Amino acid sequence: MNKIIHTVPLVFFGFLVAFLFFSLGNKNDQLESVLIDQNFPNFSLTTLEDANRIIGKEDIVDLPALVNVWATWCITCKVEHPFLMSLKENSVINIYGLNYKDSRDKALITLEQDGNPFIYSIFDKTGSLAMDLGVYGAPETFLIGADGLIKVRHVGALTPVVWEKKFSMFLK
Amino acid sequence: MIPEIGHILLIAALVVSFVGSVLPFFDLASKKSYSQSYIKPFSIFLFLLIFFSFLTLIYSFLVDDFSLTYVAENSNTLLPNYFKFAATWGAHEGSLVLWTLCISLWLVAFIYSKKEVDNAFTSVTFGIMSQVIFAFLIFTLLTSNPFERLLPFSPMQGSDLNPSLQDFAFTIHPPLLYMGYSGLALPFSLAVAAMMTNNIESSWARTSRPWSLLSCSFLTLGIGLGSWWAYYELGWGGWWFWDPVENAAFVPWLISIALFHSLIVTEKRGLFKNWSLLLSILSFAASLLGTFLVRSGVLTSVHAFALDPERGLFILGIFAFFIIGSLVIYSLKNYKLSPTSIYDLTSKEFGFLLNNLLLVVLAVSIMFGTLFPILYEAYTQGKQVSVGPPYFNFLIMPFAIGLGLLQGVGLYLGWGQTKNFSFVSRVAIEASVLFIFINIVLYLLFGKFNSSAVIASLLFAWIVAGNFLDIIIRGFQANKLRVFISARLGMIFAHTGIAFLVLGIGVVSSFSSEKELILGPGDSYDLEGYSFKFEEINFQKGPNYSAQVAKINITDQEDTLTLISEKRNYTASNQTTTEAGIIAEVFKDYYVALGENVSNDNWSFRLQIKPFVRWIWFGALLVAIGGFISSLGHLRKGS
Amino acid sequence: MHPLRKQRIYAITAVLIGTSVALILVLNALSKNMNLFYSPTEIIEGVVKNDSLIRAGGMVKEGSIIKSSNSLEVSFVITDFKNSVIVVYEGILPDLFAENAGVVVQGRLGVDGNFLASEVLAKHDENYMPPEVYKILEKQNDS
Repeated sequence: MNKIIHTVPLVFFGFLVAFLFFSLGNKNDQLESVLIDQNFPNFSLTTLEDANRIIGKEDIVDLPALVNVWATWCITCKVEHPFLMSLKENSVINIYGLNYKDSRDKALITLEQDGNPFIYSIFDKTGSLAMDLGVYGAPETFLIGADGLIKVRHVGALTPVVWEKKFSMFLK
Repeated sequence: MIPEIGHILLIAALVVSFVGSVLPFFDLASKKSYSQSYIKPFSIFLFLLIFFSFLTLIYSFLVDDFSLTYVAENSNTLLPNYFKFAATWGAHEGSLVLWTLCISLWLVAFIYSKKEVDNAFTSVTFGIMSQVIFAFLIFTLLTSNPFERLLPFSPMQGSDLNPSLQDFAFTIHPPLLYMGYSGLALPFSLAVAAMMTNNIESSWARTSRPWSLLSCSFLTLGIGLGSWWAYYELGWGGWWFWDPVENAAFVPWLISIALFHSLIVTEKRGLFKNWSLLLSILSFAASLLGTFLVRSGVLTSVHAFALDPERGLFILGIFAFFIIGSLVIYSLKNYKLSPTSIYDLTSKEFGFLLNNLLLVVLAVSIMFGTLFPILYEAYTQGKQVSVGPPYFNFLIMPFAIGLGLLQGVGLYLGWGQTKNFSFVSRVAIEASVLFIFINIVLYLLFGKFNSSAVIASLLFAWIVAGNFLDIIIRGFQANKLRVFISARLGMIFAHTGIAFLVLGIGVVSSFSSEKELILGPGDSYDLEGYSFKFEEINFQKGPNYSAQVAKINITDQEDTLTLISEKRNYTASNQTTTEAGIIAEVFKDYYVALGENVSNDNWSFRLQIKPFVRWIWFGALLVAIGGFISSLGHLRKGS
Repeated sequence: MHPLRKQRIYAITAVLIGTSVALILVLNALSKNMNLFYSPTEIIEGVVKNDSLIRAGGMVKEGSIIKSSNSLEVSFVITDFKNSVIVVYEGILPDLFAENAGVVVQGRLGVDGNFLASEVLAKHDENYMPPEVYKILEKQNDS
């Protein structure tokens, strides 16, 4: 009898741990992998560089490629900027920008001053494309595989370590 | 170069802690005793390794080494040096190193407080503490390495510390809180060591008590500081929101209080061994769970760190290892019914039993309310729900009343039974006098009565009578005032602190006044007899922001006070924050928050008067002081 | 009765009474203070049963914020890109409240279908969207 009572806390915490483990697993699915192996969403927006040029999903070419969500108000984006420039300069992979809820003028000036790692940037003023991608902040980076499906989504700055761990294996 | 040294030092610490984690258990199994001679140097060495590693991280911040991802993401050349220093623990990776540093500090303090370490009990305690350090180090190195390099792509400028975090109170809040959280690892280790070395008689309780108390004191300071910071920083005049992260600190606090009280009974009467063992495990579990909740993304809140389920899984694994592990040991122990002493309903023991019960049930209820949204979502497959402050506020009342009543008489109950009930009439009279006095004051200040304030004042009077007034009076009468007080100085401070805390909360909840309105320059508004006049508003530039600065004059019959509230826009991130204008007095705070420009020169304002709000943090400070006095006193006497 | 036995009975009774009372308190407090969260679509579809205190959320529709120039009344539209609901609020809005950003509101559904907010909630990082809003938008994406 005594013995049984003494195992009660153990049983209780066993259940708690199992439950938390389960909810975490769920969370994993929700946040980062919802779009994995899905097509990049359709969109119709102008580019940052040319307000008259309207592009869509089909204009993201030469896959595999990265789509990097950035903005001038996003300070952490400056942290990953040198690395993105190096990816461009070493012709590692094509990078398309997704300029998120930003001012066109400010964004262009920033690219001019700091360097432009992007082939072009999609100008998503209202965040509609970002919304479809499930983006909720900047910076975020997506990798679209050679087959046209989204392979990776990373929230936060793209650093060499992250590149190595999550992205590099999709280059052929 | 320097960061690499820091990294290597951490790896070295990992190895040392690993050795420390297993050696004592080999010795235990083989009944040898040679390991014990190097426990002292081991602890020091471990601490120094982590300390110097932490120093290299601080150094990297101070020299703006943006080649470190962690520095780049959390600092900026424009940040004042003091905030660069504090940014070291401002985010997940650095804060983990701080956590680990704190644990190693506790270990050194513990080992050096013991006159002799050559016994199985101390060496196993050392072993478990080493395991905790090892677990956190491996978590840090594998998933959250602050020394990760961005090279060769270091940015010229870093990111920034969130403007609302660039604040003095916020910088000392984490170290204090972490000392509290991590400190609970020690009573935990002592409890498990006691079980493993068959030492569950009372001596482990005597050893553990001051350490539990000390951790609790740090937690008190950390939580109090967090509350104070939230009050002046968030602009709403609130000081507690029952936010999951706040609850994550409050729950271990409650349990640690139950713990050190329970340890008193175990130490002095040899009773409540099960309670004390379980509470030791539970308090550390609550501490780990809190860490888990804040960093895993399972719950979201205002202060949650980076949402990262992978890290959450790791912490959950650590939690499972220690808590499930210790509970397995607990359930495997043989609990012979040793002759236990009898105590009746009027006894101190029963009082402590009720104390344990009330605190634990309250803690569990709060944790339940905090986790309920996840439970609900899982059970209903996606429906979202929130459990707001009313749940917690409603719940805490009966517990606070029960605990407060106990606190007033606890001192006078006798072990086994209470024979002398003369204290009842004495304390009742003293409390009544105090109660009437306070309510007269409250009535004079506010012109009305309010049930919550009355209850709070009753508890205040009751607690102060039983823990301070009566002691003073009896001391005077017996001419032994000094002796009476010094014997229980810590308790007097701590319990009186709780009384102030309760009164502050009761009054500020009942008698606060608030008004949201639009004012043009020259307009004024009368709030509770004080005239708030919007004098003028000016544009000003700060170091990294631009601001609209409003000046408000507050007049009552004779005096005029001036108050400034600002609306700031931080240039880099385009973030807007409000700096509230606060004037603090003993009996109230004036609190004004600037809203927005409604039209022309008209601005919206939130005007508030918060009576007795400072008493809350004053009370918390007294509680912490009491805890420090008591625990450090015990440690000096030797355990 | 053996005093030890008596004592154990007292102790166990105390624990049982205490826990039961606590359980009743907790369940009572919970049922009264549990606020369900609804998306604009659910509100339009009439899922909300009565005028209890609930939460709703979505993205603040661009251009929908209407502020009075002489009072603290404000109205705005929240949407999950399938349906929209008008929210009416009187008071100072949080600093992080903005168009094209996520928001959570707490209040009641009025008879006219508008949401009468008593509180407007915003998180502390402008990059961060309230998770409740994020989840309902994800649901839309899937369907």
